[in-house]
Amino acid sequence: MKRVLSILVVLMLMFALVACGSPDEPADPDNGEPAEPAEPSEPDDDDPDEDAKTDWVIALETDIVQFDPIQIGDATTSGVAFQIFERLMTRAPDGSPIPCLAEDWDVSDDGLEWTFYLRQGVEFHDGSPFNAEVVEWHFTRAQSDDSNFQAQFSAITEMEIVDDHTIVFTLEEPNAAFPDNVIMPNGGFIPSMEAFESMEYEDWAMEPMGTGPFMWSEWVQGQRVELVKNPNWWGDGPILEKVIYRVIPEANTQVIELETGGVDLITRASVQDLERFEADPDLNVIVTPAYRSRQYELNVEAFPFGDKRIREAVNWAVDMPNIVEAVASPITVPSDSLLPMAGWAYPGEGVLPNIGYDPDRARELIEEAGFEMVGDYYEKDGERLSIEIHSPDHRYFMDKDISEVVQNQFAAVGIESNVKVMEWGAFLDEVRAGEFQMVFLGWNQSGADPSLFTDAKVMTGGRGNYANLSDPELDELLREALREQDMDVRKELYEEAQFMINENVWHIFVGNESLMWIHPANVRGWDPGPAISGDYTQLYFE
Amino acid sequence: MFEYAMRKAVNAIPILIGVSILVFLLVHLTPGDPARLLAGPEAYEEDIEAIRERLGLNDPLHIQYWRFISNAVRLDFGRSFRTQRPVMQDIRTRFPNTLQMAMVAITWSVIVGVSIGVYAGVRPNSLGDTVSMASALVLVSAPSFWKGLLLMLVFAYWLGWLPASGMGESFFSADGIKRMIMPAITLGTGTAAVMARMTRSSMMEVLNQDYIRTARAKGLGERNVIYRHALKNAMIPVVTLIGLQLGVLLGGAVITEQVFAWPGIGTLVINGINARDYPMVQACILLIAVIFVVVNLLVDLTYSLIDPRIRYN
Repeated sequence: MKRVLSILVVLMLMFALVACGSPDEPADPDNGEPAEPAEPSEPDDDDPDEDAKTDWVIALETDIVQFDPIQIGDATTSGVAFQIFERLMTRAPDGSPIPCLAEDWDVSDDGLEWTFYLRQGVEFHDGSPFNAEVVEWHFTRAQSDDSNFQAQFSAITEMEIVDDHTIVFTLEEPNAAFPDNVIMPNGGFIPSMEAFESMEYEDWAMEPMGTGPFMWSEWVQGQRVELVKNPNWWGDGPILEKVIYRVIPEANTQVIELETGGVDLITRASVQDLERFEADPDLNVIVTPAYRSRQYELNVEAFPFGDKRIREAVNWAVDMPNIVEAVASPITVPSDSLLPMAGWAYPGEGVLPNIGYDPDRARELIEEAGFEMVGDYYEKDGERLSIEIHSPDHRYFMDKDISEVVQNQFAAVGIESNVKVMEWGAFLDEVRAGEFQMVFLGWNQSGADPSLFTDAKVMTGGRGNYANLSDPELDELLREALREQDMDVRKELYEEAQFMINENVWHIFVGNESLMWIHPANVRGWDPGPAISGDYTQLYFE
Repeated sequence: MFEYAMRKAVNAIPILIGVSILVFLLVHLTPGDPARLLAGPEAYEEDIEAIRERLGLNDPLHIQYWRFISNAVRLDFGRSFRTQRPVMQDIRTRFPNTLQMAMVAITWSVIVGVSIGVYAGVRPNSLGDTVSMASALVLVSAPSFWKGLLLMLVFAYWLGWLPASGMGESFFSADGIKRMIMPAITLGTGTAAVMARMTRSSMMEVLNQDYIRTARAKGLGERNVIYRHALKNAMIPVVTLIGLQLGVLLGGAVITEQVFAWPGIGTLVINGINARDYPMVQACILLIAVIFVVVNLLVDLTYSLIDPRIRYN
């Protein structure tokens, strides 16, 4: 009897292992930066079938928060808000600004005055008109103390209403990336002013009214958000009657819901699930490049990275393209720049000076820096060449796993290291305070303008420059590139900047993380590109 | 009895104050800055500082605690950092969902657990006893996460009988009941297993007592002996356990809620902790503490119903 029982127990445990697999690696579409909509594309030849499904059900990891655009900080709310609100401009598939609520705009020769010509006859969902007064009111709020995006809009010194549909923004100094600030989701979303004035603030923030293709319909807390088609939308579409969001926190549950028809779209899955989906004729897997760079940042103020030779040595010591290929393919693609490869400022593969994989060269450099091999590891004046690798877990695709392979490759050349995995909140605290030697970080932006990356990450005092990097020459170059209005000149300047960044060897570049979309194969009229994804106006089921 | 209940309620006050201090310190001393998490990693430092000021996080800790506790006594737990809504509003929406699931889970698990326990306790070391106790051991050891996914795999994915996740519009609809089945099973199996093991050992102990021998000697039927004489006396530890388990189910259904996308209080706590949403976490933990205190009081009072020798005068 006992033996039978023990066999039973063992069998159940084995079943458990097989059934569960590893609950791993969501391609965490984190940060408050949703992707952007495309220019409405022409529907395919065949028109939507009348009996076809007309609701599009999307799985969300967390519930929505609140819809005051100037306070939205989470990706979930931002994605839903995207259907309801619109901005002055939106993005073309290549990331460049194209008209939305502003039909056209021009900039004065000195680059200080931006004039927006607003689309006429546009109404908010509550029937109130969209005009220059609303735009002024919104951007005044966005600059106020209540706003989470005060700094983003601080460059605007004045707004002048020329007529009902023309407004001029005056900037403090020329800024070629200004459209990228206006276009940034959340802060750039324009809500109904009339509704704001006539409703209690709390109700207004929970019943968003914009000008977008879908209108707020219902919210069942913790469960579901329902949007319905805006029949009066100024653009072409939408074809769908409803967009429904279902809150499903667990990644494995999302997968089962997709496979049993409970939802139509999931945006994260493990590498193993992706392989299975790709083999399934009923499902479509779309992987699109995004403006999301991933890299290890080396703290030049901490031992041992003050010495450039050591920064070079750790680069020679790891075979990053192969690590990424083996661990995080196809979601993460190896890269050799801080700037995303999908953006216009990336000069192409093989152009930038890049350090390859050569463990012997790594050892030579370490020895040049005065270290000696003692036992298995290098030491200098009794201090071991030891590196703590700060790594988040499940924040970026396969982050911890990549760090563990790096740790192994470090050991192979005689660098001792350990991977310090922390919960995200605590991790941010330490990284923000500069308490790290080497850290795995990502930078996500919805736009392609290189300044969104360079000015934050490597400019002296940049808001994402946690490693306290500083190169006055580079700062000057970046400032010049931001003032410059000519795109060709800007491209050259940013190429030069990328050379300088790579020559400083401040990073070990990991790659660019793509976005993934998995939905039924009968979905048509939707093509998420690098800067787009939220545009469901032409989407239909066959 | 009323006096006893009142005395217990008064005793609960220092407990709750203690919990409030503890939870306040825990959330505030946990590393992680709510303002930074709210603004996102790409935010400007000035914006983060402005949020911190707006949320009152720059005030000294004792001032923040006083603000929290003086409002809490009026049942005002402030506004959530994340949603800006009063936290009580969210808790009022979510708590009934958790309560619903916990009640269904505790009901079935007590019925099943106690029945199996009695069956096994009456026939110690029989085949039935060994099998049921071994299964109980497996069920109590299996994590909810695994049990939930396994059920989902079988009943939603392979058989397609039940919807994989989510809560129905109403509990009293076919859809509502269908969606309740898997979460309630997942949540209740551990409790049922513990209940079965406890009932079994309690029964075995009672069945060896002299009064049972007397009852049998009087010529009472075995059924009468077991259910009227033995089970009633065996119930005291079981009732204690029910109380404790109910508290655990109400406060600790976090994983089941996550797996089945059940919009309960557990998800609220988890999101609150991840975002360092202090008001939300404080309110939820205090609520869970209150539940424990109330349930324990009810358990105390139930003793006198089961065992007339226990009186609260």
